[in-house]
Amino acid sequence: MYERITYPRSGYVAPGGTMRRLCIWIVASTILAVVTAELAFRYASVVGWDSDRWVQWTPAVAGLTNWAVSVFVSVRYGLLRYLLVGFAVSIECPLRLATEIWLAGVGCAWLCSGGVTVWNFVRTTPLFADAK
Amino acid sequence: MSSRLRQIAQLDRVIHEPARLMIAATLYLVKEADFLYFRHQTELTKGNLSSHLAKLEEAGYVEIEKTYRGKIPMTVCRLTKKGRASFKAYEAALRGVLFEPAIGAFGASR
Repeated sequence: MYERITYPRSGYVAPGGTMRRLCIWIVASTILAVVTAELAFRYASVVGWDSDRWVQWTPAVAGLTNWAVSVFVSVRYGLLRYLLVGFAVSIECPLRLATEIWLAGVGCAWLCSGGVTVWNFVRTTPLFADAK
Repeated sequence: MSSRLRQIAQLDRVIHEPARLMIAATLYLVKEADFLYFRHQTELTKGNLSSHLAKLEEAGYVEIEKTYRGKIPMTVCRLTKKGRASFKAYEAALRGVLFEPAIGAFGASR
């Protein structure tokens, strides 16, 4: 699907080592952050910290993270609608109440934004003569 | 001739030509790319791009593989080890010429 949309327009390119290294770093640091958070929540009471209070902070931290990522994307790639999407998804990250609805809303927002990006790409990048 | 001017004269001419520099700089950042991608990125004509790629291949800087994607012919290009080293050397040389302190480098002309 990706190739059907991109190949005849932009051609084929395989990302280099720098890109792969960056992806590996992002995945590794995400896994590390999740494992660290899980261990911290699990064993916080052992050292006398109240893990319930940490859980209360999680929605705020998740919201801020979403917002920061969206601001980065909108500034780095000039996609101003990400400011709006980021704001919408960072308003509330409820852990218990209506999590499914929130996640569905976030998913739809990202899909719509991605759809707009693909549509703009297809509309503005013509097929090359030798690809027709 | 000052050492800085000599450095300019010794720049790798195969890479120094703007069209070939565009190709080499793109290939330096990616693993491989096809002819269509280069046409899109460099906005060179087919013939022009083809001749520049041939010159880079002749110098041993670029490896060209002709293959098929489904029924569409595809020309995939990648930088060889020699090409990568030469581009790195070219970049360092250019950096040295342009950005190192210029005191006395062009001789006492004033």
